[in-house]
Formats: sequence, C-alpha cells, structure tokens
Amino acid sequence: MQEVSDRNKNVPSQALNLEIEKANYFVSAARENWISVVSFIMFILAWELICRFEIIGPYQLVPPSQVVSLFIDKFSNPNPDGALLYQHAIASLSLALVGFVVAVIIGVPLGLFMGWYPGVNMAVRPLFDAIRPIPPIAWIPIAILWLGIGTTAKAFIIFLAAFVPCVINAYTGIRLTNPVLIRVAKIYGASNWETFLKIGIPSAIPMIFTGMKLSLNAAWTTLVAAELLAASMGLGYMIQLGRRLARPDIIIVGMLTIGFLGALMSWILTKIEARFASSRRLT
Amino acid sequence: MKKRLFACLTAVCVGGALLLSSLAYAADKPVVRTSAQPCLHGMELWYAEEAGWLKDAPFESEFLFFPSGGGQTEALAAAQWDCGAMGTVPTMMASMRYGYKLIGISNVESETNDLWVRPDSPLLKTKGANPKYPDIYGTAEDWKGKKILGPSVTTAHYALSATLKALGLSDKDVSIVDMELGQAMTAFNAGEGDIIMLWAPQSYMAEARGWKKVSSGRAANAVIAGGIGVRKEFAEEHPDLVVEWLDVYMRGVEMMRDNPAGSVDPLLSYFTDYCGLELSRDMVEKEFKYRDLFNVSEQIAALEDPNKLPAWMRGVADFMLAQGRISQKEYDSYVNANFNIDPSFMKKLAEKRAAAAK
Amino acid sequence: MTLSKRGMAIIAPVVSIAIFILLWGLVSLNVSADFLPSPLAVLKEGIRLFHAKISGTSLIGHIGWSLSRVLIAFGLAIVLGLPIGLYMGWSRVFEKIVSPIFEVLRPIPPIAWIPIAILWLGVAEGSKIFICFVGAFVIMILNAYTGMRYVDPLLIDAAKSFGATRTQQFINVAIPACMPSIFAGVQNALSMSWMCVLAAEMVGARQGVGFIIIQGMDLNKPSMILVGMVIIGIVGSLLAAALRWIERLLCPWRRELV
Repeated sequence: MQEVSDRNKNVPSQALNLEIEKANYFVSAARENWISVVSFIMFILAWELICRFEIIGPYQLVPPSQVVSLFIDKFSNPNPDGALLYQHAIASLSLALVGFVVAVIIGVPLGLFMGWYPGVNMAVRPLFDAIRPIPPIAWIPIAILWLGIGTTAKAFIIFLAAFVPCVINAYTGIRLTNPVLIRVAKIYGASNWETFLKIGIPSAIPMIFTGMKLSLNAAWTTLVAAELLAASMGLGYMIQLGRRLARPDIIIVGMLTIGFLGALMSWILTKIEARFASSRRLT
Repeated sequence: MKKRLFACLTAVCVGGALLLSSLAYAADKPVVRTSAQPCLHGMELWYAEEAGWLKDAPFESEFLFFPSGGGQTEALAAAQWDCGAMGTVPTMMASMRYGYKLIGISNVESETNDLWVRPDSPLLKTKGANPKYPDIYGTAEDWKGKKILGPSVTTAHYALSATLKALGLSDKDVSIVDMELGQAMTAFNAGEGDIIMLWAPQSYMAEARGWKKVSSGRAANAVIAGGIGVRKEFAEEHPDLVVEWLDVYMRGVEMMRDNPAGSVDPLLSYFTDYCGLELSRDMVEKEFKYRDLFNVSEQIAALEDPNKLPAWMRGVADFMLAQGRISQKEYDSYVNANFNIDPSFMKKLAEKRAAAAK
Repeated sequence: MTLSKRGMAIIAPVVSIAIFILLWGLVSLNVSADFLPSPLAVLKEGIRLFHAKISGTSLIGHIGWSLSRVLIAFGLAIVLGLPIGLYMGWSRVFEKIVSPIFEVLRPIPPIAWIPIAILWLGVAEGSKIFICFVGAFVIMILNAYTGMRYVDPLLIDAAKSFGATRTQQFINVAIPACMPSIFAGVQNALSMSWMCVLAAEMVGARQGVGFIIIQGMDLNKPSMILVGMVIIGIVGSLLAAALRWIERLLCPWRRELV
C-alpha cells in the first residue's frame, strides 16, 4: 500500500489516484504471486514431512500424498464407509439445495413484505426475534422427534439455518430503498404495490444476494452437523465413520471435499449475482 | 480504549484458564484413569469406590464415562485414560490402531448385544428361516432394505452383521442410520426405523416397552467377549499398577460371578444413580442370567486357549474384513500379533493372590 | 399519534408472542406429550431442572461449562486472529504468504473439524475449544483483513505527511479506521462460537447446554429438549447484548452506524 501511495504522490485528482492504484495493484499482484505459490508448496511439503518423520502419528494425521491417493481411490472403492465419494457428495448436496431453495422461496418474500408493510413486520417480527437466537443445530433433537431421521428432518434443519439470513437481508435491503425514489414513483401515480415491485425489490437485490450467500454457507455448515448426529450417507456421515474407524485419511478427504463444494457453491452464486449486477442499484 | 479492550480479553482468558485448572486436583497416590460405559462392565471400579475397596489400593481411580466404544477409542488415542473395559469391536479397533492390550474378559455378552423390532414388524411372522439359526426371526426378504438405527462400528453392529450373514445378506442390503444408543431409542420410539441395535441394559428397557428381540450375537453364533484392556504406554510404564487395578476389577467380576443375588443392588444403583438410566430390579437380575463371567483362573485359561478368546477375536476381525471396514494388511498384522492379547497381567495377579494367601 | 404508535410497538410483540404460545398450547392438547409438550409442561420442567442436577451438574453449571469453552476459544481467536488479519491487510507480502493456506482451510465449516479435532485433542475440553476457536478465528481474520484493505488511503497519506512513522500509521491510523469492521467480525465470531460449542457438545460431552438437549433426547423427554433450546436462545442473545454494550463502551463514535 505504501509503495502505491508513494508513486501517486503527485497525482492531484483522487479518482485518477484510485485508478492508478487499482492498476498498480494488479501489476504487483501478478509480480508477487510467486510468493503464494512458494508458500503453498512449502505448506504441503511441511505437512508431508511432519507425517513422514512421524512427528504426528499416522493415526492422527496422514500425509497429503495419501490424501490424494485416497481421494482418487474413493471414486471407485466404496470401502470402508460404504459408498463412493461422489455418492456421499450428491446425497449432501441435494439435501442442502432443497433446504436452501425452500428457505429462499419463503424467506426472501417474507423479508421483503416485513420491510415494506409495517403491519406484517409488527405481526411477524417478535416471533422471528424470539426464534432467531436459537442456532439451527439446537433444533436437531426436536426435529428428529417430530420429523424422523429422513430427508424431511434434515431439510427442515437446513431450512431453519438458511431462512434467517434470507429474511434479515431482504428486510434490510428494502428498508434501505432511497426514499426519494419512492416519492418520485408516488408522484407519478404508482400504487403502493407497484412501487414495491418496481422500486423496492430492485433496490433490495444486492442485499438479497448477500443474504443468499450467507444462507448457503449456513445451510452447508448445518448439514454437516445434522449428518454427524444421524445419517446413513453424506459427507458428514463419511467423516463420522472415519472417526469411528479411526481413519484420519477418510476424515481429511471428507473435510476437504466439504470445503471445496462449499467454496464452489458460493462461487456459482457470485457468478449469478454478477449477471444481475448490470441492472443493480437504482440510486 | 484499546487497553480496556485488551484488559477485558485478558481477564476472560485468565478467568477461563483458572476455571479449567481448578478442576484438576492434586492427588498423593498415582491416578489410574478408568473408562467405561453405562453397561455391566463399568460397575466394578465405580462400586469399588463406593464400597471403599480402593482405600488399601496403591492408586486412586478417576472414572471416565462414555456412551459407546467409539468415544472411548478416540479418548484412548489422545491418551486420556489408562485402563478400562469396552465391547469387542472397539477393543479390536483400539488394538489395531493404538496397540491397546487386551488383558481380560469383562464378560461374554453374546446374548446382550441384540436387535429389536416393534411388535407389528413383519419380521416376527417367520422364525428360524435358516434352520441353522433357529432363534433369528424373519426371512432374508424381510430384512432386505430395512432401516436399522444404532451406533455403527460397535459390538451391536457386529451382532447385526453376523445376523445378516446368517441370512445370506450383508450390511449393503440394509440401511444403517448411525446414531448413539439413547438417541436411537428415542427415535425408534417415535416410530422411526424398522430395527434397532442395542445392548444391555438398554435391551431390557426395550423389552419393557413391548419391543421384540429378533436376533442377538448368540442367535447368530457369534461369541462376543467384552474386553478388559490397558493403554499400551501405560502398560509399559506402570505394569505394577495395571496388576493392582486388575485386582480391584476382578474383585468386582468375582463378586458378581459368585454372588449374583447380592450384586443386583450395586448394579442397579450404578445404572440408575450414576448412569441416569431408568431400570427396574427384575431387569437387572437378567444381567446375570445372560452374561458369562470368569474368575481369575478361568480368565487365564480363556486368554491362553487358542479356541477361546483368540478364536472369538478372530471372528470379529473376519467380519470387519468381510465388510470392508479394515484392510487385509491391517487384518494380517492384527492376527500376527495374536490380537494383542496379553495374559501376563492376569497371571501376575494370580501369583500375587497366591502369595498373599500364603 | 406518536403515543399510540409507541403503544402499538409494545402491544404488538406481546400479542404476537401470546398468540404463538396459545397456538402451541392448543396443538399440544391434541398430540401426545412425547411429540410436543405443552408450554406449561416446559415451564415446569424448566423450574425442575433449575433445582435438579443433570448428570451431576446443575443447570447453571452446564451453562457455565459452555460459556467458559466459548469465551476461552473466543479470546484465543481474537488474540491470534486479529493481528494475523490486520497484518494480512497491511503487508502484501504477508498476505501472499498466508492467503493460499487460508483459502484452502477457510471454506471448511468448523463443524466438519469435529472428528479430526477429537482424534488430535481427545474428547475432553481441548477438542471443543478448538472447534469454537476455528469458527471464531476464520471470521476474525476475514473481517480484520477486509477492514484493513478498505482503509481510505487518504488517511494513511495524511498521517504520512504529518511525519508519522510506518508503525504509527499502522497503530494510530489504520487500526482505529478498521474498528467498525473488526467489531462486526467480533459479533459474528461470538455467535459462531456459540453455535460451534453446541455442535461439539452434542457430538460428545458430559456437560454443557448442548449436552442438555442430547440428554433430553436420550431420556426421551421432549420438554427437557425444549427447555434446553430456550436456554440456548436466551444465553445466545445475552452474549450478543453484552458484546454490543462493550462495543459502545470502547468505540462510542460508532453508535450512529450500528
């Protein structure tokens, strides 16, 4: 940062200053990327060596080479956890997406209505505030009692997890609509409903997307917790079985797959968000 | 401002550390950390403490409690306990992974690792579909695709796998939902799943609820020996303490073996007061009917006779191999190590007692 | 007008909650107590649990266990995560060194660490504190880093032109400027650790509020599960409230942004 500002010392305009800083950032980013590569290689190497010299025992941590070979092996070998890696992944993904989609379908409109109509807000808000501080994970035992141990119970838990950020962000988004825009719409004779649809919702979209990203994250985290407590397939179940069989390699492959899929899903959502970006802010 | 923030945080950290350290206490005698489950094999050391047997012993016992063998094995990996008892499958896993020594038999629990259904289950229509296993209910078709609740990779799971094999099936033909015992019971009670895998004393609670037993380790011809064991490093560092600990443990085993009627009350009190289970007297009386207990000389015989404990452990290992839970390499080294059975402690105990008798 | 508005603001939540409890009561009359206990039964169970012991620890004791785990982990996450995150934002070389490792580990949910944490640290306190720590640590780093990256360069330049050294720029200008972002992170980190402690206690513990709801399930007592959930909710919101209070105490200039 210092480097950047040093070079820009004599540039008077702030806008220009920022442009140059941006350009510099990317130039120097490319120049310094080798540091990241080296650092990553060092990390993997250190991990491998720690295991090779048994500084940490083979039943506590396995070297990355073994993780990679197990990862490849898990595409064709269902042992010892009873299913292939992609089967576990599909089981988890489909559950997470069901809960997430339902949460978005219900949560976003609810948040929007709460933000636009004070009556809805007054009726729903207290209940929402009472339930919100209970983490979705705490619902697992009661969900098992109510809905069993199948898809419904897990989808319910994930729904709860994904629901809250959807509502909050849709609510906040629409509350932040520029009042001038609303007044202009009203002056031109738009009804309250029209203003809601044409002014309120579009201006809430960036916040809604932020909420959806948070929701997806919460859904994925909670799913893992639910699978640790009761499951017969899924990535959470896979790491739980790795735990039962004292197989750290299975646990680590499962963890990395969970992390990778989580990152992949947020990336996809970011891409979708970017497509909407052109018609974003009205202000 | 920042100082205040850091002061707050430091206070929080220090407070937490104090809270933790105040929980650890200093003891004069060495402490043997004993691990057990809410099961018959956990009663010995708990009762020894209650009955004051430990006053003369050269160690103090710290009792650690686990709902099933999975947690026990993990705690062993982190060296959190020294001596203890657990089911045959966790014992095998612990020996295979962490060199855990198998030094005795807490009891033979083939009958008390069992599978239960609700009274309306279609499994109850047929009995002894395979004439070699007359006590197993249901046909292979009945069992196929059933949802079975319970903790996987435990001794109850072994009883399940043995039952499935007796019917010509394997784990892959059913759907096993991995849950801890108590949670599985509650879910099963709420109408979830078709079959539940249990062990005593929870199976007596199942019986009291009107559920029906459809198989057990014994029904599937699997001999299931609960193991007494010791962490490898502890056995190497303190062999004398292991013998002393075993002395106390065996005193409990022999009390139950020789005087079952007098042992009902202590066991009941262990289950209800300590474990928080809701059991009645007549349930606990069954414990002594279903389980075989061995005294010291019988233990030595069983540990050394290749047709007894080694054969029983081989049965477990064969199953785990067939299920793909362990690899051929792991199996071979486990068999070559004679299943990590070490009768030396039991023998030393016999010598010690013989010397004391003189 | 204003009076009636204020009156509504008080009455509406009360009415809404009352209707909810009434509905709950009506539903519970028509289903078995094993499925949904009545609000009264839950209240009674709550009072009973306040006096009885659950597996040898009182209710307050269980809350204390959970809180101590969360606070230790949270404290560690702040002490370690804040400097790392701030320095990542300040020094590009440091960022380049740390970020590839951080980016690989970041998307793994803290709860997925439970099995490996148990293998590494055992079933006692260590693994539970570790899980909560992971949850809070990642959020702390991210927020401190983002806060630092978005510090207005003008502020730094101004400090520099007044002759501030590099260290002074960092401590006296950059850090206070990213306080809002840090505090947002602190709040999220705390609620994340609270969730993680529950998960860790539900997967294996003998004390803590997560254990209470699992014990309620083990004993087939839905009323105990619901009491546990209510307590979790109350403690969670008290924690958040306490943090807001501390924040007001430490950076009063930020009030209008909350």
